[in-house]
Amino acid sequence: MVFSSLIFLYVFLPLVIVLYFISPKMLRNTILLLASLFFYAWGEPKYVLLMMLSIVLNYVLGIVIENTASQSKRKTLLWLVIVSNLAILGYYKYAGFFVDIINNYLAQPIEWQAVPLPIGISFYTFQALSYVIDVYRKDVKAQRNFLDLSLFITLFPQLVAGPIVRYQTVAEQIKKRLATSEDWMIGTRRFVQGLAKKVLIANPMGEIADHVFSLSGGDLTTGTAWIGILAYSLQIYFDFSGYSDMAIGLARIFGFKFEENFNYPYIAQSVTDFWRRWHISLSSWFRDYVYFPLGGSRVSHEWKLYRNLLVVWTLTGFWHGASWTFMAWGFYYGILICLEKWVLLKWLARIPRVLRHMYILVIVMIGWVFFRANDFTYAFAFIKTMFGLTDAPLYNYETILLTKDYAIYFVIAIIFAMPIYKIYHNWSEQKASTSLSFDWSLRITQTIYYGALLLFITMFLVNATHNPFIYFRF
Amino acid sequence: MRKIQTYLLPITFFCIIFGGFVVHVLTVDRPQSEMENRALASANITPSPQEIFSGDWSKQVETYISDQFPARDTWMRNYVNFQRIVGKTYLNDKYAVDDKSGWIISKPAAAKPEEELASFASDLQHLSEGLAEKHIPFTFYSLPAKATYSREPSPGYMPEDAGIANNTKLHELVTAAGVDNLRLYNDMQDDFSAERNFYKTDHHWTIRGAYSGYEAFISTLSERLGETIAPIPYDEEKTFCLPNQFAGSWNKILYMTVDNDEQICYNEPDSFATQFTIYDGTIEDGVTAPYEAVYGRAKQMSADAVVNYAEAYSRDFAELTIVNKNYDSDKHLVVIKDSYFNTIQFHVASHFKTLTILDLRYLDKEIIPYLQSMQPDYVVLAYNDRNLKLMPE
Repeated sequence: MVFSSLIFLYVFLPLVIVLYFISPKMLRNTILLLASLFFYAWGEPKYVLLMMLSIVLNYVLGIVIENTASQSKRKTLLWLVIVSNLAILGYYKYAGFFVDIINNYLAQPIEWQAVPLPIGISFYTFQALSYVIDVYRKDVKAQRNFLDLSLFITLFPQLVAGPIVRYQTVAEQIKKRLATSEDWMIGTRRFVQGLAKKVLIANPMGEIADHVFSLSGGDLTTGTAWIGILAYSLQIYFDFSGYSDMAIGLARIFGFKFEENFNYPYIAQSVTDFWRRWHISLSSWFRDYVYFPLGGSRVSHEWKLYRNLLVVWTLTGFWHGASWTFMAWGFYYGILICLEKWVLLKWLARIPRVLRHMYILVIVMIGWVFFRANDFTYAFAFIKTMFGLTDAPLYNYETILLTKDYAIYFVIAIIFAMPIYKIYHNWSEQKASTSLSFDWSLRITQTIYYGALLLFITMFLVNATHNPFIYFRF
Repeated sequence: MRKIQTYLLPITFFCIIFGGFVVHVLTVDRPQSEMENRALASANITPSPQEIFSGDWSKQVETYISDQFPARDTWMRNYVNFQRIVGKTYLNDKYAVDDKSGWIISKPAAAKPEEELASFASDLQHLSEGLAEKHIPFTFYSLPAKATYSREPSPGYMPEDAGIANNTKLHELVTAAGVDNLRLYNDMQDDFSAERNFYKTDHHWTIRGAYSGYEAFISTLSERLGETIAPIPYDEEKTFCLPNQFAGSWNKILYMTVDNDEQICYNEPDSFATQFTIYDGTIEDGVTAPYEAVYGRAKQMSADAVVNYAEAYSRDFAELTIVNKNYDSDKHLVVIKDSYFNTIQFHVASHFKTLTILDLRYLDKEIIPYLQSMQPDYVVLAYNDRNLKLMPE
């Protein structure tokens, strides 16, 4: 089920809220778990069993690891759980990719029937892995209550597209949490903000990107290519950060407090800075569970640092999908981060801020071409057109039509990609905390604004046909 | 201490989403959307286990919720209005609206791949050859469509519509395939104007445009038949219009957001009401229908009813057989048609002893053997020039 759908907004969510809040506290986790399983089963009922298998595996092995005294046995068990989790993920997500590679070298190709990717498998697998690794590291105690561990992994707000929540973050909240009226207000506000990002900005940007990336080489002009990649850059940000906002907001309504997943990445001034602001839960997962165990930056030789960075970023790219373009996209960032660590950051510090912004925006947009394109041929042809290295004209009627029809969406998207609203929000909340009359007027204004925004979003949703989230396929 | 004002937003939010749910449950489902011209999804309350486990049922439910969402048409209409406010060139990615004149103009069509046109030409060749086996002559007519000839006002930066080029290319291919064909526009050019011939808000021709088409059709067909058949001259005095508001097909797609003062008009001799015996199907089926139930049903509607093109002239019948007692020619003519022909079907029928009208979208028969068994004197396929397939869209 998709958050930005009428069935979620006007059927599932109100019913879950009613059931949850009229239930006695002891049943609330069960209600949430059942709702989460229903939420997941809605689109792909058969894959609930796969997810349950993953939960049982991690539940049992988490307890076994905790109860094992011998360090070598603990380590063996940890490797067992890691390999098991990655085997499930690998079968569904990467097997076809590797079979294709192997078949290139075989006279008698291996026959492989492609299997559909279970939605959210990369997210819940990483979430489950973080739990078991934390148990192994003795950072957390193994969860003995099967329902509670199931709820941690399946909790519907973050189940299918993150953020990747750490067990440490919510372990206490699963046991005991209090959702106050302030939590409901903050959660509602955040959910509607995320919904607006997705429906009012990401979807129109997606229309442009889909159109431009479907154009054949002959129809693509330099201007249209830039419009297309700008639209895709805004689409993917508002799509994914919108989803994260909705997840964080929904969780807050039920009393859970999740970590932030985005922090205005397009205002970054370096690639390093960008990745501190983009998909924070994934970056920190790889930092804590791959980069640090490899030695991180505390290494005997400098080359090992660069090796570690390249490994982590190539894996980050590969996490997104089983294709060479995703791997190249990750490696591209690995190279850039290595260059920044080596010398670029020092140079960047000396140039004007505006140039640093331009540097990161161009770098990121080029990266998104690889992310969006199906193959390298298309990606390189697209980039050549962007920089006028083909015979493509500067613009044509498509360029004018897209600019004219979507100018307002671009302006709104660019404004909301910057922390202007956040500055206003912090100022108003600060003032509301010191003035009761301002607090009242702010809450009334917010109620009218977000209520109207919800109805406005509904208008878009009634007209929408299909609007899946980009990160669903990861 | 909890502040009461913090309840305002969550309660409002809950009231909207829960209220939407309750209204949805209490609202009676609509079977049909007049604006979208399609059947709306109904609730499948007894899904099979296979439907549930395959995920098909969840898709059905989502479609049902979307189709039956409370005040769906109002939401859709407001969305069109929103697009107009923000200056979208082609509303719903289909039509531009000129607010001054009230004309709705379609987005320019791209040139069709030659294979697609060749495929249609090949179908026509098979049809023609199949009929020739039984010595039944055949002609393909393309009728001028509004989308092809009503292009103004259109944004200056947009490319030209490829409708005329597609039509020209198709006729070249059809000629090369040895099939007799005629572009009706060529015989209507003397007094052709988009303003006169087409509705502003609908994709069809007006009665005046249709009448010009009828005159050209009869003139050119009489040459082919080798008979002197003169069309009924257009008599301005005979024209009468209904007071009803018109629901143009393109305006319906835009949820009737374009104001217009268009009227449904008729121009037909009084004798039409009595000179035909009309069969809904074949003569052998024996199901007859009165003239007023087939043509111009809107004449019987109340003046405040909003009337669409099908109600104004004729709906699409799979097969309609019209037997005429005051004929000029004793021939049996078969016309395979789309909705453009509906306006003039009785005008054409008034010249022939028998006219059979077939609509392949609804006729569940193998067309060539069926026509061979019917043994008509002449077969015409008359489609508007945007239809580039044997099975019209």
